[in-house]
Amino acid sequence: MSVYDEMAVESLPEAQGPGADYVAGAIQGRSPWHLAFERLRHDRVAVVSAVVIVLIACLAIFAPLVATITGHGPDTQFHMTGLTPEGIPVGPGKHFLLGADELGRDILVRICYGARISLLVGVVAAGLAVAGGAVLGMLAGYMGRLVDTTLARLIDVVLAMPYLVFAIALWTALGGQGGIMLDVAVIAFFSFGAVARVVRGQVLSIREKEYIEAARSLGAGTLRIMFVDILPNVLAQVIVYFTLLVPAAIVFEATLAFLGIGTTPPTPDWGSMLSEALNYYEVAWWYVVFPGLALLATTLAFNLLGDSVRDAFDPRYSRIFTREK
Amino acid sequence: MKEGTTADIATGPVLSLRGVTKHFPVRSGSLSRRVQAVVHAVDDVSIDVERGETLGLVGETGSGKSTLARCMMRLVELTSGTLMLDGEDISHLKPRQLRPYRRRMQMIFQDPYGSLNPRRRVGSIIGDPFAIHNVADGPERKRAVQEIMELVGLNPEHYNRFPAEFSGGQRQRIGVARALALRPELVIADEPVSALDVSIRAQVINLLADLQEELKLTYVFITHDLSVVRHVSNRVAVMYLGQIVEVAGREDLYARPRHPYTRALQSAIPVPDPDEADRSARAAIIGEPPSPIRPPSGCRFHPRCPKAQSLCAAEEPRLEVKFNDHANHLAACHFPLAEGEQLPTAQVLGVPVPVAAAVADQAGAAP
Repeated sequence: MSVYDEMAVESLPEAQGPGADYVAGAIQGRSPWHLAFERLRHDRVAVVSAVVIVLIACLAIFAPLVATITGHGPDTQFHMTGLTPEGIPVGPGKHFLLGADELGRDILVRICYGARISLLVGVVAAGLAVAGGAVLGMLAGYMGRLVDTTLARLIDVVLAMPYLVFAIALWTALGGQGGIMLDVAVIAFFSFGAVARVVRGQVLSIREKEYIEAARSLGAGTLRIMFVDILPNVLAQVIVYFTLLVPAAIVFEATLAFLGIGTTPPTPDWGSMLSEALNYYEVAWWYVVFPGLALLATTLAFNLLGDSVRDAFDPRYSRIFTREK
Repeated sequence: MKEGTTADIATGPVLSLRGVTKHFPVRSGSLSRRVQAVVHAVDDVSIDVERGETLGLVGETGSGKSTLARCMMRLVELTSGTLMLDGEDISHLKPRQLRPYRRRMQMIFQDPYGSLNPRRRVGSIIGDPFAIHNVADGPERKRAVQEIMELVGLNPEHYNRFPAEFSGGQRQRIGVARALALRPELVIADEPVSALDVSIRAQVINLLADLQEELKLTYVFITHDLSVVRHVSNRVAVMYLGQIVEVAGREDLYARPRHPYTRALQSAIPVPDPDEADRSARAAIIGEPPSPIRPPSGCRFHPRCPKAQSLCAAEEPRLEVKFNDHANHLAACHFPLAEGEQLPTAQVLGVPVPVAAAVADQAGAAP
């Protein structure tokens, strides 16, 4: 209820915005999504985080353009310009904006290409984890009994597994094959459990609501109730979880790459760059700082955005409006 | 609906209950889930819902009214007994087989806030019955939904709004629209006005009455409000601890209650004028209803009944015609009230102490 009171108050002063049709008399149905988006739009942290994420995504998308402008390919080694006569990488300067690595490759270009892998793995793995977790959580919560017990134990087992050991073992067993597909599979497999638990808990309370009983009395089947009646009520939670899982997946991927799992050497990847940089940080600080900063900025932006999204969906966080004034 | 059978079913009752029983097991322990006890929510209820009538179902909280409604709708599995819709046994049908029958009976829920999905638009909520039963699609469905919205007194232009944008009374109209979308024969209304403001109760009750006339509906109207039930019903069934203790035509029941519990309920109806309300005339029913986990032996009302005798604790009374009542006036009591007989009032009894169980109750309540 308070959500709507809030909106009414909010839309009065701004007559040009969404409040314009309010004045005209035709009251438009404001969906909870609309309200959440309005709150998000007024949250400065969320806007800045979103801008940072969009910038990083642009870098990833236009990585070939960056390579063309700088004239440095992602894997091309510039022994003459990138390394000093003593074989030390050159620092940030005119030719190499963010410096070069031990083989004379442009760190800026490699960070741009690395963003492709990080974002791809982060978004795809988080998406898979969230989709799988939501479906399993809904099944467990709505079906209850045996399904619930079985899934709950399965999730316990997954969450109890040492995921790094598992990933290394799998990588070895596959003989170093699989690339980032392996990253995605491992990350999704170890992340869906947490989502499933959250969704299950939500569903346990939703399934006792009268509108679920109403749907049953109309003759709705289990699938229809799960996807038409329950899903819209857990979707907000799921979206919040998604935005928080993306940075976790990016860090997870970087960790695996750091240990040499998933991506193979010439491929530019933030994790493997950091891993190699460890041998050179005494002579080339830029080698460890810039990939590290890229990783930090990306995960921080996603995490802050995730927090804001969570607040936006929570009607109790009406403070956002007062903070703005 | 099968056309061939409409003629012969049109005479019989819409819904027949025979020995309908619902027990909820109380389980404990996380692994074995051993059944510790059984809640006797509804016990051996037999009643017919006649075509075109409004059957009022009254009883205090916990008497099993809502569970009985959910048994009628097959929203819960019956522990035992049979349920017949238009003469067809539907008590053991699987959900899929039950679906065509659901078109013929629908339910209006108590809580207009809880019974509408807050994340869905009104048009899609009322369109649900059409979608589930594949009746109408696309623009046709929208037209059907707007038609029914108009029928229940909602503005069809509010099709795209969310439930939260409506008042309680309007929300209940949405619930009514959803229930009536497929033009059922039988509507089970579970306390449809209890959650509403007194000022809009009359509106919703009148709407239900108008719709009954227009659509030839049969109602089962559940309420704990005796003045409402008196206004809307043709026939009233009184429930106590999961059983029907008395059924009669409205006038009959109010003029000649046979069961002491019915009489006690009537004396509890508030009188608008406080000067006229004679508090001492309230029948002396004391204590709380006993636990449905271990219902009393014999007549379930005997621990609280001022007329109880030893027979009442020993033998369960049958629901039957008392004295020279009309054939449809049934009561389950060994010592039914005669014409004009009053229950002993609190004043007459002084300290109301009908039976030993009540003494224990009193002792527990005393400081």
